Amino acid sequence: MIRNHRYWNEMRLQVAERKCISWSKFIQFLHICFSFVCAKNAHNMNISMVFRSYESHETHPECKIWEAARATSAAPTFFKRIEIGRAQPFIDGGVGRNNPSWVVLDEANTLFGARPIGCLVSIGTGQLEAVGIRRPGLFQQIVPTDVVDVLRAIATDCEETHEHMLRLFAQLPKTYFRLNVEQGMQGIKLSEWERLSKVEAHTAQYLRRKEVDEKVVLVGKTITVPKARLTIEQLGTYKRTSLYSVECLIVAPVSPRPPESIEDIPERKLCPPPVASFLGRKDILDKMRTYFDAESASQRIFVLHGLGGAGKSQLAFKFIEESKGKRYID
Amino acid sequence: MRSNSLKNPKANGISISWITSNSGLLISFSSFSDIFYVDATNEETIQADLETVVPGKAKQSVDASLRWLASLSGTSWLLVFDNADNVDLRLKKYFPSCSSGNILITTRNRELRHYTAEDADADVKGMDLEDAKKLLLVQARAKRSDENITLAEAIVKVVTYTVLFNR
Repeated sequence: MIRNHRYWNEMRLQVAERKCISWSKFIQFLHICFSFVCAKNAHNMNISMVFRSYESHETHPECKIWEAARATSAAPTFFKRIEIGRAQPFIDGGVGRNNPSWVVLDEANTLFGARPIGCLVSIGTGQLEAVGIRRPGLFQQIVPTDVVDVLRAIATDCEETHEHMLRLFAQLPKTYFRLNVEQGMQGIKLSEWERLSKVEAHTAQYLRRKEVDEKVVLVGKTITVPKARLTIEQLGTYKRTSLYSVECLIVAPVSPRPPESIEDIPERKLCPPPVASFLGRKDILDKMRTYFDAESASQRIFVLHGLGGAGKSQLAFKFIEESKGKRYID
Repeated sequence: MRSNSLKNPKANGISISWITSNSGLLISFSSFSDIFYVDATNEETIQADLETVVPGKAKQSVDASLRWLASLSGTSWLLVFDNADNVDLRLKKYFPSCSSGNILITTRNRELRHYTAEDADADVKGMDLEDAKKLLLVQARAKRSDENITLAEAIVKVVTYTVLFNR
């Protein structure tokens, strides 16, 4: 059993450093970025719990970020369970949910429904050996066999889900990505959470590999401009046989678009951007902004009229472009 | 479904999303929940573009799209009808029948003003002389010297009159 206090202090520190105050309620955390973690109720191992940062039809006990983080990493025999809500003990989602790809698809389906899926990015903690099952050796003599079994199950589980995802997305190239450090993590055990620098070194080496580097670039492009072709439902009736392994997944949903068939989905037209040399017209842009921002009990309709070539469409494009924005705040 | 999200649909609320990263907080915002662009040149283009609005597996149709938009009460979508110049066009039937949402129309047809509330239209005139001169110099990659500015003014004036006479 790892000394719990130091680990948890470390985790609280990490959470705080990321500017997510650790005592803020998990459910209030990042409303727009939908995130969840999986855990299990220790009283009844059949009950899987998904702690979400958003509201869902399922209710779950009040929970703070660090508690959720604690619950999901309470791997049996490694960390103590945690009690959340009405003294319900939770342990890691572990076997079955270490690669939550299925859960992600389920959740995305509930949240976004008919929206086509943009991409699924799955980030693993390492290949089979990475979880550090050294057999037969000193390790096994110290650690009870059931721990070794649990670990092996977790690792096998992750890869199995990965295989399922590969098959599921076979018809949709450039939609499913998995990044997983394949080598070098063998020596690092779950209990050695302090040896992050070693993990970091192996990860850096993995990322330097040419094919991985190319993959990462592709992932970046796909997340920025997802090409949606199918809804999750349409993805198929591929029968899921096993449960779940990874640790971090990103689903990039795209705006709703009507899918018809895989080959030919009519594209929804996007509003063009204004020409780069657009200038002036501040008075009209201001008027439009004021009109559309004002409270109204009825549908707002604004008409730009004028002679051909006066720049009505460009003005509309400019207005739309200005309605969207990004800004950094320190 | 998100009770605490930073969105106020009633006031055509700006929706805000944020991501924390090493470089601070990245906030992105949009006044509209979704923007749909429709080429309103004629009935065919309008129908073709409107059909693609409805999401999901439902059969695509103009009706389905309009019903879907109308059902999104409390959201601030924007429907753009671009180049609705044809005077025979009955645009009104393509407005989702609901009391929410936003519509933006560009047209040469001044009569379309009647679709809107008072003072919810703008007469887009040609550019004023100063903007036109600036634009010409920028596009010509010409220096803003006094000489060039004088030349630009002359060119802009000639071109403006030519366009007006040929109309």
